[in-house]
Amino acid sequence: MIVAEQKDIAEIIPMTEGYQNILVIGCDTCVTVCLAGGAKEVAILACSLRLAARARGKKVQVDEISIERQCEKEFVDSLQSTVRGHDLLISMGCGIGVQTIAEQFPNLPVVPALNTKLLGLPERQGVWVERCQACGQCILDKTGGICPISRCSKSLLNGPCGGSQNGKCEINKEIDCGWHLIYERLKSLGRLGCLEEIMPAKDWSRSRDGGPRKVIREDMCL
Amino acid sequence: MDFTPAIVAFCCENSAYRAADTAGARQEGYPSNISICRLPCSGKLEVIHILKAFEEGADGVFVFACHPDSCRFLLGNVRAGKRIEHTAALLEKIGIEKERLRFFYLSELEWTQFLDLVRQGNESIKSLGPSPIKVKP
Repeated sequence: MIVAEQKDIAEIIPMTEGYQNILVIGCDTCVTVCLAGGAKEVAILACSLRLAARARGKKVQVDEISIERQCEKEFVDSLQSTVRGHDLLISMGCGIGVQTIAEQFPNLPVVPALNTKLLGLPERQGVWVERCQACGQCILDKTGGICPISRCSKSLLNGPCGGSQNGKCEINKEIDCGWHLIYERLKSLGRLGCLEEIMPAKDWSRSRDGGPRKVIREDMCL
Repeated sequence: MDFTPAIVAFCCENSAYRAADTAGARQEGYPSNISICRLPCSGKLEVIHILKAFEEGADGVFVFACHPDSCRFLLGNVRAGKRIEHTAALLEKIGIEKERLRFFYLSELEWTQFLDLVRQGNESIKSLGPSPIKVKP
């Protein structure tokens, strides 16, 4: 899932300066699961903004709503009647949600309440870790299901590097060496032979180096 | 200035709520401006409950949890403690003094301590004055 975290309230409050009718919009999907922008967080942010305004002697209307997915126009479209009368929209979705709302409501300012951090999973309660960098060319079949792009600090394709010490990465002793994990995994699978294969340089044009990407399914296009 | 603060005391029903009940049964008075809100566990308390209390006009919020290692739900008091810490920092950034939010550990037997804590807490909120939310409408 997409993992995000809320911006500091001290960063959000200035974004609302000068606006009187604010709508805080949550997303019930990824950012709800990572406790950043679901209905619960929307209620807290909306209440915080109302309190902050009143503490500064101002009266601001802050309403709240959460929709199923901010990253799909059909769901964002359901906000048409709700946004009426508001002069600022605060998205508690990921960066995709913010932009979908901006595209659907071109005449209204939209600001982000979250910082979108990574594609990952919850490791334990309150901790989320990165597992994918959406590089556009998956090689998990060759690496025992452990991604060297996201889990090796240098995204090496033929690791480990000389900085791997006792299974940890040289940049931080808290970080597992991705290639050490790959080695151990392949060893337990009896597939260490995979490491004999030299992986060629990656085609990064399939990643961000190729500019904004697009996926087209001709058979699904109408 | 003659000021009687509005205070909400969130009490775990397994400890402070019973202590308050005992204090009441013994006809030991505590400030009548303290509204007690019964919780099934302090871990049930959410950030939004505290913020709403301030939004609805509270000048102070007290939260009573069971002592460490005494929670019937194992970690409810630990969760409550962390949420209070988080909420206090949030309040400060919003513009509400974090001293308006107080967190206490208490057992059901400590009814005299409950009285001391709410009386002292009441005085400390009085000295802070009305909530900034109420002062500037």
